[in-house]
Amino acid sequence: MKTEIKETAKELGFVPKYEPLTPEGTEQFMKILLSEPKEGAEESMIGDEAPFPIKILNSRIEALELPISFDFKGKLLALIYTDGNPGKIVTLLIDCLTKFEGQTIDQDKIVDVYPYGFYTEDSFMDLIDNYFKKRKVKWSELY
Amino acid sequence: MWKIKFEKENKVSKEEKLLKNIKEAVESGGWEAAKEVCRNTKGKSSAILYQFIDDVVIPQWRWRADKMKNIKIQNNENRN
Repeated sequence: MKTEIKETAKELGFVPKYEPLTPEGTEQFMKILLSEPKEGAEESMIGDEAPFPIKILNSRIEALELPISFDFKGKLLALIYTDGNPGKIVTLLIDCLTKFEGQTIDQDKIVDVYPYGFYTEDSFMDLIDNYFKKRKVKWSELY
Repeated sequence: MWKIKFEKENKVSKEEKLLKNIKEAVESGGWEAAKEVCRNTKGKSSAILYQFIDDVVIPQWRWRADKMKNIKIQNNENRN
């Protein structure tokens, strides 16, 4: 899939506001940092076993042949940052594509995309309503 | 939420103990206190978490605090 629009939301005037990870999210993040993925853990993120938001992520990447992939810890962090919200995870996918097209997203890249946490609820709605739904920005057709 | 469990579920691992200490430090003295816990704990895990707190957690809260400060200043200016 190729997107024709070149602009990003920020270039069009979107001023994001972020909120830090919740205490639970921070704790989960620390556990991910310290854990070694168990055998079979990768498979739990594929097919029927995968949590619903990850199925959304996988299906979009596969069906639309998007030039991006997520490693295991990248997927776990995507869940933590977006609190498992399907709309937010698609937003995360669009942001990652905008910044890291053609690359594999790991934990470092997610932190690089969201250094101050994920969008606040107001900021998220602004991005969706005024930029993604109006197909103004790059990769917004994924939403 | 998806829980990530450690290998030794019945035994309190060093990592779990460290996470517990960090949690307590955050509750009593904030993230700077948590950094202190990591600094005073030997091992690779504490070094990883120290870096995480310094590079990821503190910048997030600092950014938010700066924004809140700006909002307060703007509100005060509007009132005046």
